[in-house]
Amino acid sequence: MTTLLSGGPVTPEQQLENARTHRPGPVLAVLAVLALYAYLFTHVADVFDLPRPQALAENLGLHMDHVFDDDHNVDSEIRIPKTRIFNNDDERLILFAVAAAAFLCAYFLPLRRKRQALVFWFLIGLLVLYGPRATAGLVFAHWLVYLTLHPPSGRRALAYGSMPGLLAYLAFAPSSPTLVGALPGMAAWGVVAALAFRFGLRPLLEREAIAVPLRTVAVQSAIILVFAGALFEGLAGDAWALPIGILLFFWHWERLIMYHVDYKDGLVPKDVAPLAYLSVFLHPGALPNWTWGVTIGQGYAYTNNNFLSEEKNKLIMDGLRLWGIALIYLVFGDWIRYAVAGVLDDLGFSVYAGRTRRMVCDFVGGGDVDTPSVLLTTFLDLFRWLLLWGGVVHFKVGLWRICGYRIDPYFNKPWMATNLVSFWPRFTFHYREFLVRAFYYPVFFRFFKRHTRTRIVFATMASVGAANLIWGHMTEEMYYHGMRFEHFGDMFQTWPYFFLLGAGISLTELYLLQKKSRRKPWTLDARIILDVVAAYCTLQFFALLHIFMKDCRGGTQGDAWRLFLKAFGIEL
Amino acid sequence: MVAVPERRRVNHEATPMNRATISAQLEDFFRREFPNPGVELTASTDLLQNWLVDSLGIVNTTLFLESRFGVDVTRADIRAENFQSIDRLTDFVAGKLDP
Repeated sequence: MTTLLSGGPVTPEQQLENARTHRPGPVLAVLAVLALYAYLFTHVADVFDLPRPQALAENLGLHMDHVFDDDHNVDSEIRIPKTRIFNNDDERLILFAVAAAAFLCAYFLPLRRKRQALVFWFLIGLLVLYGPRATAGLVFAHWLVYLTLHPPSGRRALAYGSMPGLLAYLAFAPSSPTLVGALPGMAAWGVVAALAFRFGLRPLLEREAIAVPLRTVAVQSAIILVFAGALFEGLAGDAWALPIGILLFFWHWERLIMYHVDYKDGLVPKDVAPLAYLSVFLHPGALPNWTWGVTIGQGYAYTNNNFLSEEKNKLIMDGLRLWGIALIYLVFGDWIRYAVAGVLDDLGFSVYAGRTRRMVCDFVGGGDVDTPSVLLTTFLDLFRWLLLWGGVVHFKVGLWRICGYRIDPYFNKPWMATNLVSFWPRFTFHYREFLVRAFYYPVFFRFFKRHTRTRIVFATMASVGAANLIWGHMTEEMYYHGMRFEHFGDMFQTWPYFFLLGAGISLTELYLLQKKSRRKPWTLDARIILDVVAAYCTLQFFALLHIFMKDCRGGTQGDAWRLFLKAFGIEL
Repeated sequence: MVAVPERRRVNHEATPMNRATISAQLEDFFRREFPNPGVELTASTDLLQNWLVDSLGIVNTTLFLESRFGVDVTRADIRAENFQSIDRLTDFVAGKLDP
């Protein structure tokens, strides 16, 4: 696995060379795998009068529970959230069609058109799935950030400056029956926006003392707005509802922060064109499960440096490999979980079908939960989550790869991690990089420079504890469940999860700091058994922490602590 | 992770630091701290592609640079051009020691 620093700037000549060779094999393979996905996860079998996946499996003698859903195709975690126009199967079919079209364009179009085509197909997908208002809302928000980070001058100042007005009219103005009917309004809003930018915002951005906080406000607008909305709801009792386009933009906030980090580090050219800016964020890989794996692609430098940085057919084969693994996780994940849970039940252990929340609720309700149950249930729940998570993020990264980006896998066999430090990049690589670049590094390089251990602990607690809670989970809670004041309290109630995770990683770092042995884990020698034990302990500890995240009505933090300590045989 | 002595114990002024010395110490550090059996490590090996595992590897290397050579590494120094290879890191350290 490579790093956030990987892939220095790739030259256009290298990209041309890497995009030169067309081969029918990889193209047909991509289309075939997409067709297989469509067959398994959508209604396409009915369209072509083919046997449905469940019927086919049963004809082959495969009778598996928890694999197929009510309409007899495979139940899938690949989904498009918050759509109201289509059902899940149709959404997936649109997604796969967009993926196929985007792939063909990225493969065959000239180099200068490839990334533009990916933006185009992302927007087409969005338009079909969510309609023009959501699409305009997303581009509107990104355009405002673009103008703040890359203010154009001259004639472009008026042209680019008018765009937020045009887009805002499409996104937010009262509906107009026809496009022609909307033109006067669009023109008026466009003119106002152009003048406001040219004579208002643009001059301010020329003064660095004002430009710096303005850029920060633009990049952090998501967290500022949701927290303001939650406070407002607490004071006034009314909850703001976010338009879907703005919500989509808000889910890009972590990548925006990384873009801003690149910007401040001088890794982003000042004169980036709007389409080049949009191509960082608007990629077909960002369509499926857009609330999961939102840091995939990171910032400007990572995306830019990894586009066609390898031969495109090799990238495609790597992407297909990830899609193959994703397919196994997505199809068999639940089947494996229920099979394991069944075996454990037969052996006399209560594992609540691998659902930690059910166990917590049983405990809160006065149920007798013993130590093996706590250990096995949380472990099985993590196992369930890893398979779901791995399937979806492998599919997303695979989609980036077949479109020409050498994106690192988000998920890389986390069960092989022998400590918490190595677990994070294996479990959630791009998010970990976000926390490190946006929070760990700034603290690490500023505070306690003469006290190594304090420095490491402080930087770790700041990133894994505080930033992970506020910029990660708390903001997401608002996106998922609305801007309500009570979510502040709900999330602060989960502080033990963040504290224990930060403390665990800090202690691991300090242990590794003074560790003498430099043996590589999983070397085939007598100590490999210790690797197995270490890997189990790592996963089990992380699994147990989720007790603090699975609240149950009527439960208290004391209940969570008692259940957590039960895992260690401690009864309170 | 590297076993890093506290900075007050560092005595890098005792011997003159030339490029060869810096390079040799860096090579020894990478072999020791990031064991990668079967992969050749030379002064020009791409560390970011093949050797450093992740951003905490960068932190680890930073601690080594600060403790062994007494240089002050800042946030802005964490760039691909400085960490690309042992050659680049040697240039970076030499530049810090003799600006």
